[in-house]
Amino acid sequence: MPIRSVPTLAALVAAALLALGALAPAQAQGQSQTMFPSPITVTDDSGVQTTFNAPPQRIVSLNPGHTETVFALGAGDRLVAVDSYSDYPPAAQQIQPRLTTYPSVSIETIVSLKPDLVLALVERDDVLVPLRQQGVPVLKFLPKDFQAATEEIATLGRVLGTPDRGAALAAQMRARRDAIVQAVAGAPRPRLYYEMDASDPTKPFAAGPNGFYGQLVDLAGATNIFGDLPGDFSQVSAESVVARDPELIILADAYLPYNAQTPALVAARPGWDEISAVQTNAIYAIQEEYFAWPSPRLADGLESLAYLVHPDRFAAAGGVQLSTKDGVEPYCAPGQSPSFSFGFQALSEALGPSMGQPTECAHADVASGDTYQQTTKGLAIYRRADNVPSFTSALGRWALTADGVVEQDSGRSDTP
Amino acid sequence: MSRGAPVLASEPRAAEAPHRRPARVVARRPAIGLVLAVLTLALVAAILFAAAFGAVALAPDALVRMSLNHLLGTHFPATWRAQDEAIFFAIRLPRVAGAAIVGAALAGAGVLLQGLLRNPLADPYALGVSGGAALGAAAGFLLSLSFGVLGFSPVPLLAFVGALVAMAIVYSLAQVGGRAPVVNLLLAGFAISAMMGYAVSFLLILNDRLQLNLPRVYSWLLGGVSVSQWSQLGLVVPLVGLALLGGWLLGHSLDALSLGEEAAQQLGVAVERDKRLVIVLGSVLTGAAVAVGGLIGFVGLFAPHVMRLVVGPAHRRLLPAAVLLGAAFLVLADLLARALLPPTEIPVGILTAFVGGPFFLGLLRRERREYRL
Repeated sequence: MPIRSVPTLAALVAAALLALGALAPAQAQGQSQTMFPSPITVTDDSGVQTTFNAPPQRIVSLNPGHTETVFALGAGDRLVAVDSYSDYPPAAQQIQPRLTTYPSVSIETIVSLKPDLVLALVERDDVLVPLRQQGVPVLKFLPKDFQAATEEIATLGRVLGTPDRGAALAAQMRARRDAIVQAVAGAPRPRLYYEMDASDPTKPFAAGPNGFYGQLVDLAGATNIFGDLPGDFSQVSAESVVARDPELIILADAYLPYNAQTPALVAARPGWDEISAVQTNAIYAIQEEYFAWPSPRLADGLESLAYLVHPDRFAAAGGVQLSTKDGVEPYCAPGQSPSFSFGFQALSEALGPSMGQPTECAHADVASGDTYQQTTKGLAIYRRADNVPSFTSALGRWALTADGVVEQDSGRSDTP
Repeated sequence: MSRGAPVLASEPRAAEAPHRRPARVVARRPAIGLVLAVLTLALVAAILFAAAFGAVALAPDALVRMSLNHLLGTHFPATWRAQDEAIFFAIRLPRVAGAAIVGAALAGAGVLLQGLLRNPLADPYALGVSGGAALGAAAGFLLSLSFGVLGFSPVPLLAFVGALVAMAIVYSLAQVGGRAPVVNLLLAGFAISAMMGYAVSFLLILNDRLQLNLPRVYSWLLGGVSVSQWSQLGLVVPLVGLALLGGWLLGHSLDALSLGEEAAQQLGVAVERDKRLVIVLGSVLTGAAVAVGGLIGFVGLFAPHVMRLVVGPAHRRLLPAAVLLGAAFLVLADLLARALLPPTEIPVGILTAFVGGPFFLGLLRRERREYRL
C-alpha cells in the first residue's frame, strides 16, 4: 500500500492542477517538458504575481509586439493563438485562430484554447480577471519605456525557458540604443514633428513625449516639437505645428489604410509651406510598427529614425542596417536573403546606388495589399491600387511608371 | 442682457392659466431691427476676437498691420515671422469663417426642423442625419478613397451624402398616402438614426485594421470645424446662403404650420409641398454643416430656442436672429476648442454643450412661464 499511495497522491495533485488549468496542456499532450529547477515567480504590470513551474507550452499573444518577442525568443511554435494584428514575423500570419481584441477579446475562446500563458498588453485588468479566475496564467506586460521593454523581454525569456536568449536580446537592444545615443551625442537636436494621423489635416494627431514613438524621437537625437503634450499623443492645431516650425516631419501615417499622407500632401496644406521641413523637403515616411509597441524591432525603429535625423553621423556606416534575427533577415524565409525582385528590381536598376541595398525581404501589408521593402537608403513601396513601384528616401521619391522613372512629390531638381 | 426684462415679466403667467393661450405681446418685444443689429455686432465682435486668439499667440498690432497689407495694399514692414502670416491667413481665418458658417447653418436647420416637426427637441439631426452622416464618414475612413472636390476629402463628402440619403430615406419611409405625418417623420428619423449609428459601431468593430485608430474616428464624430482651404468655403457659403434664403421665404408657411396642418391648409398653404421644401433645405443646411464641422450638437437646438425667447416664434423674425446667434456662438466655442489647452485641440461638440447648456437653462428659468414653440 505505501508503494501505491504515492502515485495516487500524484494523481490527486495532478487532478488539482488540471482543475487549475496550470499544467493541464503540457500533461494532456504528454510533453514531459523540463521543469524549472525552482519555480519562477513574475510580477506583471497589473501587479499580479504568477508562478511558473515549467515553461509554458501553449501561449496566446494579444498583441503583435508580444508575438514578435515570443518568436524572437525562439518560442513561436508554442503560440496557439494571436491577435489579428500579429503579422510579424511572416510565420505569425499562419497562426490560427486570430483573435479580435476590439472592443474586447473573447474570454471564452481563450479559455477553450487551454493556454498556459496569455500575454496581454493594453487589456484592462477587469477583462483579465475572469481569465485569471479560470486558472489561466496571464502576464500583462505594458512597459512604459525602451528600458522597460528590454527588461520585459528578458523576463519573458526566463518564463519561456530561454533565459540566455532573452537576456542576450535585451542586452543587444540596449547596446544598439546606447550606440545610437552615443553617435548623436553633442549633435544639434533638430525640431521634429511626428505625425500619427491627418485625416483632418487642420487638426492632426501628433506624438507627445511618452509612448515609444515619443521616446524614440528623443533617443534619436531630435527635439519633439510637441514634447509638452500631457500624454502619448494628442490632436493638435495646425497653427501650433506651423508656429513650432519643425525641421523634420516624420509621417507615421503614410501607410494607413485610409487618408494616407505623402510629403506632397503635407506640403500642400495651407500655411505649411512656411515650415522649414517643407521648404527643405525633410519629410519622411516611416512604418509605425517599428515605433508603436514593445518588441525587439524598437531598436530597428530607433536606428532608422536616428539615420533620418542625423544622416551625417551614420553616413560612413552606409545607412541603417536592420538587425538580423537568428541569422534570418526580417521578413525573409529561412535560407532566403534580401534582394530586389520584380518592380523593385527594375526600379533599383534605374535608380542605381541611391536606392541602397535591401535590408529585409519584401513583405505585404495584409490590409491594403501594398508591398514594402526597407533598404539602407529608404523604403520601397508597391501600391496595389495604382500598380506602381516607388522608392522614398531622404532625397526624394521616385516611381517606376509606364514612362520610366519619374520623380514625384518633390520640389528638388537633382536626380538620384 | 439685463435680468428680468420688463416685457416678459409683465406677461400673464401661462402656468396659472394653462388652458388660455397667453396673449402674445409681440409689440412689446424688442424691435427686430434692433435685435438683428445687436446680433450682427456680436457676430462681428466674435469673429474679430476669435481671429485675434488661438493656439499660437500673435501680436494684435501685427495682425492689424498684416491685414491692412493684405486688404488695402499698405506696406507696413513685416515685424512678424513669415509663418505668423501663414498661421493667420491660411489656417486661422478660414477656420473662423468656417465656424460662423457651420453655426449659421445649424441654427437655420434647427429653426426649420423645429418649425416643421413642432417639437422642441427637434434639432438639425432629428431626421436621421447624424446616423447617416456618421455612416458616410465611416465609409470615407474605411474605403481609403482618394478624391476631392474643392478641397473636401472623401470623409466630409461622404458625410454630406450620407446626411442627404438618410433624410431621403426617412422622408420616404414616413409617407402615408401622399402625406408625411410629423409623428411618422420623427419616429422614422429616430429609428434610421439609431440603426445607422449602430451600423457605424459595427463597422468599426469588424474592421480590425481600424481599431488602433478609433480615437481618430470618434474625434471626427464629436465634431470639429475643419476648413483646410478657402475653396471649401466658396462651395459652402453660397449653398448655405441660398438654403437660408429659401427657409426665410418659407417663414409664413412655417408660421401657419405651427397652428396645425389642417389650419395651415385652410390658410392656403400647400402643406405637403412646403414640408418637402423645408426638409430639403434643412438637410442641405445640416449636410453642409456636417461636411465642414462633423457632428456638432446643441447649436441647432439652442440658438432657435434662445432667440424664440427674445424675438418670438414668427419664423421670418426668428430665422435671421437664430442664424446670427448660432454663428457667433460657434465662432466663440471654436475659439475655446482651439485655444483652451494649446496645442491640444478639444472637440468643439463638447464645448457647445458645456457652454451653451447652462446659458440656455438660465434663460429658460428666467422666463417664468411655460415655454411654447
